[in-house]
Amino acid sequence: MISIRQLSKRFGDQEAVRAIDLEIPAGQLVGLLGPNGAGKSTTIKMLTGMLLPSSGTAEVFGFDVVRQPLEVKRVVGYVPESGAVFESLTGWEYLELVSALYHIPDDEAVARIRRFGQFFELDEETLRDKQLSAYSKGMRQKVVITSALLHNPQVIFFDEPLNGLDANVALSVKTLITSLAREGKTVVFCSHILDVVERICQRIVILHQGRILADGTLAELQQRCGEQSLEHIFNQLTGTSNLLARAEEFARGLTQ
Amino acid sequence: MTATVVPQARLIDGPQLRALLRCYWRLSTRGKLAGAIRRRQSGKPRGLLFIAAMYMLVGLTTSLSVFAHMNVFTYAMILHSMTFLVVGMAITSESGDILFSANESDVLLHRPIHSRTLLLAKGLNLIGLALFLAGSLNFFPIFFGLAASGAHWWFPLTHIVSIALLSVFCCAAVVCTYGLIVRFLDREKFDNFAAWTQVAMSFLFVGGYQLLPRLMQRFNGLNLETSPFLLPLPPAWFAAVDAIGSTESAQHSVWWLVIIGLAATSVLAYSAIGKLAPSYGEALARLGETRQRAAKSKRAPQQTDRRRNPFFRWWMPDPVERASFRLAAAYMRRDREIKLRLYPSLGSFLIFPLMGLLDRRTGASPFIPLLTVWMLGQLPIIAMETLRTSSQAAAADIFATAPLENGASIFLGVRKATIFYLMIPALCLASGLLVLVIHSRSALLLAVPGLVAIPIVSLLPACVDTYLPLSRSPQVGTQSAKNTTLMLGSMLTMGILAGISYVASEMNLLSIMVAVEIVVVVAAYWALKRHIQNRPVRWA
Repeated sequence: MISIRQLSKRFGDQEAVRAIDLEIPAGQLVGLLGPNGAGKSTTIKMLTGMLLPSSGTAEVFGFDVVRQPLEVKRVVGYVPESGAVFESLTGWEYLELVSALYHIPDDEAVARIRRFGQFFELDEETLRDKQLSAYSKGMRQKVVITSALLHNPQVIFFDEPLNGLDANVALSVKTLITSLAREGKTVVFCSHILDVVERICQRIVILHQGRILADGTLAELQQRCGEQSLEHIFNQLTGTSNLLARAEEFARGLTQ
Repeated sequence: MTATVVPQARLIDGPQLRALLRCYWRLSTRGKLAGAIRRRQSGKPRGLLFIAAMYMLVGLTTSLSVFAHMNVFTYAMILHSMTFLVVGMAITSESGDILFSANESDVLLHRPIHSRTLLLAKGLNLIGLALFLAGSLNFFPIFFGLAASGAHWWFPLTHIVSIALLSVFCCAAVVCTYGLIVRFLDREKFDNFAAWTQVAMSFLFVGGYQLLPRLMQRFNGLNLETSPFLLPLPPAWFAAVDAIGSTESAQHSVWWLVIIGLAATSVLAYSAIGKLAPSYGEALARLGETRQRAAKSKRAPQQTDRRRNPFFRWWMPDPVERASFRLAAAYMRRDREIKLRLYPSLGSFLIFPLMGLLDRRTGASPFIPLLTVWMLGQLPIIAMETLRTSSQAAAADIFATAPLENGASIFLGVRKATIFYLMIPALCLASGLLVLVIHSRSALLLAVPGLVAIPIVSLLPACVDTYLPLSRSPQVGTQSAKNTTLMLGSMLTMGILAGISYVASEMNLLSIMVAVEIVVVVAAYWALKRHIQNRPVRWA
């Protein structure tokens, strides 16, 4: 479903992604982890046709991201980390715009928007009357997630989708994500909330400085690193050693 | 839920185009304009409605020229020159936000939209804005045109067509210029080049406009047979449409102008949308790249030095002021969005005095030094107004959370950055030119009252409202509205000051006037600064 070979991205003299290889089959829910600046968002942006790779190839649902970007964009859904929307539109208008961009017929679009609205408990009156600038962060994030799923994509990229969601909605989204994978969708889930990744992802890929450091199931990573929790595995692979001692020393310095 | 069946890739996708146009229309008409209509924001007409009123006023003034016994071609030429300048400048300063909105990349770039469809939607959005501005500017002139010699009753209809063509031409020229540039530039140079391209376009629009009075003066009116120089001037092409459409006595040679105008507009529009759209798609992708690498700064060592520089520490003893100075300087130098808005806005303020200085015939005018100094003195106010607006407005919350008694230090830091980086270099350059070109001592002395008044002007942005940099979200039309208001306000103030200075000079009282002005300016400066420092910060 997603096939990446020697994919690289350079920004000037800075190499954000370094010749990564990755195969993700249909129906798999993959957690893409890494510290800030590891190259996660750049990789996702190349896979969604938003950025051109510097070298290497990538195919999504059989379409080449460089030669067939429009075909790729038709089959992917993307929840950006920024949660960007057109703030002067109402939620309903924004979702209608997205529907039109994917050629969803009007009646069908209305039905789908209503279905998502019910799932996310978004009041239709609010959706129709209030501009997105007036929405709370959580409500806006619900609209962003809806806009990524409205066209029923085969491959879905979630970049920090739980940002701003309250505990109940976050649980709904997590359940939705696992259900989508069970329905055969390929899901790439980027998050810094490691216990969520640990619980819902079937496979975990850890990126660091543009390279893949680890790739496998949680059990495989536990075996490899000799640690039980994903947090400790992640810290062992990418983090600073003696974290606790350093933090205590730093806090002491702050209060003195 | 079933997967949607989508058509094969189309270069211009009708349903997508309609959806995007509807979206852009809503985005353009909400915010400022809607606020003005519904009186939701501050109860005062703002944004696009305000600029429409201003343009109508300018148009009304210009339309009075019809009573100087003009024929349709000459009258239309004046209107088209004015429209070419105003619409061209507005489109140039707004095009950065419309064509290359950084916020849009996360919303639209991952959607299956062909770059041609997206560019056409944005181009039509630009044309809509151009038509709105051109319509406002020509609202009164359309009817006054009936008084032109030889005009038929259908002149208004013809003029609407010619204005629409001119608007399309301006937008196509701007889009085409961008398309050509992004085609040949790599990502590294794109930001800077795009900003300076807009400055160049501003210069072209102002330069084109400035040619008209010189041609009229040289040929004692406008007649194509005696003025072949009209052939390359866009306003003449569209004025010819008026002449052909609403008079019977138009010369046959005027047809050439119409043909050139239609051909140029068609070629530019076809090139912009038909040929250069792929470059546009690539440029949008490059913008995403540029934003990702913005954190890396090659100038950090120099900034550290500047922070320790004794001059800066003396000039800005308050650390908040120094921090604000650095923030403004960094945005003026690095931020694509600010650069795209700021530098084109400066175009008219730089070129008007410079053209006056370089024009040998008017170089002797006693008002040129005053005009030059005064217009350049407006640079800080334009820069500060531009620096108020940013798509990163949410980040300005940092000022709200900081324990500041008032916003004075923040404002004064931004003000000093604009003075240091813009006004002082421009004034030094202009002073050198003035001394070289103007040999009359009395004319040079006339500039002194303007120079003395400049410090007051640069305090104005914080006098009415709390000034916080980067704290307002951009809205379509706002930049044009600000520029036009400032331009008209400056012209009016300068006119009054020039009049008083001239009278004082004629009566040999200029030195006394300057002395009185210095006292008034010092008192006003002190009072305004106190007002700014005493007012608590009002968060939006």
